[in-house]
Amino acid sequence: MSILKTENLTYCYSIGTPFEVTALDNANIEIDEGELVAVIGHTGSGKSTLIQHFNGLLKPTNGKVIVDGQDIWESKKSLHEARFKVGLCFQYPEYQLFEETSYKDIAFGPKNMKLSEDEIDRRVRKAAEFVGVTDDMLARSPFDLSGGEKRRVAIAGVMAMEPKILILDEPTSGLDPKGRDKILGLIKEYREETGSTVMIVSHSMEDVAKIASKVLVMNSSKVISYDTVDETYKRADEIMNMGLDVPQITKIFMGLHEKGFPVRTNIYTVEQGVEEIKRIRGLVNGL
Amino acid sequence: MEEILRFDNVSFSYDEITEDKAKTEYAVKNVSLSIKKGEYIAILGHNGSGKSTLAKLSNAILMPDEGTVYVEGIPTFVVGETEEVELERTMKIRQHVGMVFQNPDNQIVATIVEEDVAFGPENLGVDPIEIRKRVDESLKAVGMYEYRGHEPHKLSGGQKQRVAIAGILAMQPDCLVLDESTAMLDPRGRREVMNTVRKLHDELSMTVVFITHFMDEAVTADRVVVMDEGSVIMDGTPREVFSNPEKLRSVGLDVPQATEFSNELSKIGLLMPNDILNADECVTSLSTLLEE
Repeated sequence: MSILKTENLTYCYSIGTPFEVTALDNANIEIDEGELVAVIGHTGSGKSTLIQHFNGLLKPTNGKVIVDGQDIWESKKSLHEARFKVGLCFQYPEYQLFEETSYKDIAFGPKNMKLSEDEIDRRVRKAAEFVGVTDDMLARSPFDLSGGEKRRVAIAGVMAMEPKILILDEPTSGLDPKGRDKILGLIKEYREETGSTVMIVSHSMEDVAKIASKVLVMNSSKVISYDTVDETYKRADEIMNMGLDVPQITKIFMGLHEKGFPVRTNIYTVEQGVEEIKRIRGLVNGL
Repeated sequence: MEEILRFDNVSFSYDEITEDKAKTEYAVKNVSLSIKKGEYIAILGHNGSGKSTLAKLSNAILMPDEGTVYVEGIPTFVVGETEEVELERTMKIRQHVGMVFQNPDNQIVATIVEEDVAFGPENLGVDPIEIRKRVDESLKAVGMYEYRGHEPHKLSGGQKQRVAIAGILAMQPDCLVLDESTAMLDPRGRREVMNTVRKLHDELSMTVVFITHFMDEAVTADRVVVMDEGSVIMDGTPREVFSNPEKLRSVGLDVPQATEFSNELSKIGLLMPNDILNADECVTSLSTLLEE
């Protein structure tokens, strides 16, 4: 069953002024429960506008957003519920920490959900453990932590609300390769353990290739495609023309293909590349 | 070639240095490094490896606790100087070495692009006619002249960073230090900034030191310096540095996918060169091997 659905979703900024602009144009998507969706598109393609609709931060100019079978703008109650069902973690979330201790910061979301003290405590500890925030770190001010640690505290704050859909906007930007792999690993594990739906907005096609099950491509305020990673990378040329980067390994195989080698071009990890070379080497030698 | 920056056994700690030096946590430890005029250098290292501290030591934002940093032969810090003399020295150093930071939103001070670019030279007391000239030239050099009358907050991240670079250029420095200036940008913005910086190096022979996490940016440099735990652990051409993937991984870094792929192919008997840096080189070598 689909957990998230949009029907003819359209959003215009600054309506009625000379600066009116359509940031999202008639988006129709349907996302199944448990998917790990990567949303890609260059700056200004409408990605952020789209995800801000999922928990009601933006009200559609036209069309509907349906979360868990419920039109979120139907009533005050349904909107309120959507805010807890969909957890949104913004880009550079570490800049939004504000509490005295990391513990209080992570507890902020669950507290707003009016849960019992015990339940809040359980959730804070579970989320903290999940992202590798130690008891010592929980007791400290979030501002005394390193950049990578702060980001994990911020992500834990959203996870502690135990949303059905967790959305992370550029969770790895600004991190070094090790920090990046750590966050991606956590996100993947979170989805496997909780079975929740996860969406990440990313510029990095290499990250997308590592963890996503589906890819949503956006360009010029429109949803261009929603498909598996495999199918998406078959159209690597098209993606590059949208101003996005494809992984270097994909470029290598596009180059080999252009030179007339019988290789597939939807290769997006080094392992796949090695397998493909093994396969065609058999072929080339056999000729 | 003439030296523009020199680090002589430089150490720096954000903590108070106590009697017991062994207990002090150094952000930069015993670094000696010489940077010549006209070089194009990438500094790599994971978060917390000391690379940003190194950048800040290069134009007197931070002063070394031990050792000396020289900018065009001028030490950034002299013990026992009066405040006035120190300020004069610092101003001189910052005119030689200009720095661009990570966050495009933290570096813009004015409400119109050209006013922002004029901010630096205005503070240096440059003649207004000369300022006009420098602002125009700097904005042209970064490809933002058409936007001179725009409001900076309506620009994209890459455009903002190019305005920030123009603001530095207007002070006519000899060396540009970029401290992860592409980290917050999308791929298009990153390309814009890196192309601009390369052009400044190629056409105006600007010395460029850029700190980055992106391996694909590092491979475009003439020289790569790798830092770990406050020390320089590798220093060489990109080919020399990236042909040692084990060492890079051990300090939390990566190699470009093309390099990794070539290494993996060598393991299955397709003997690829061990210094492949980009997709084109990989395609060329691999197609020759496959045709044999």
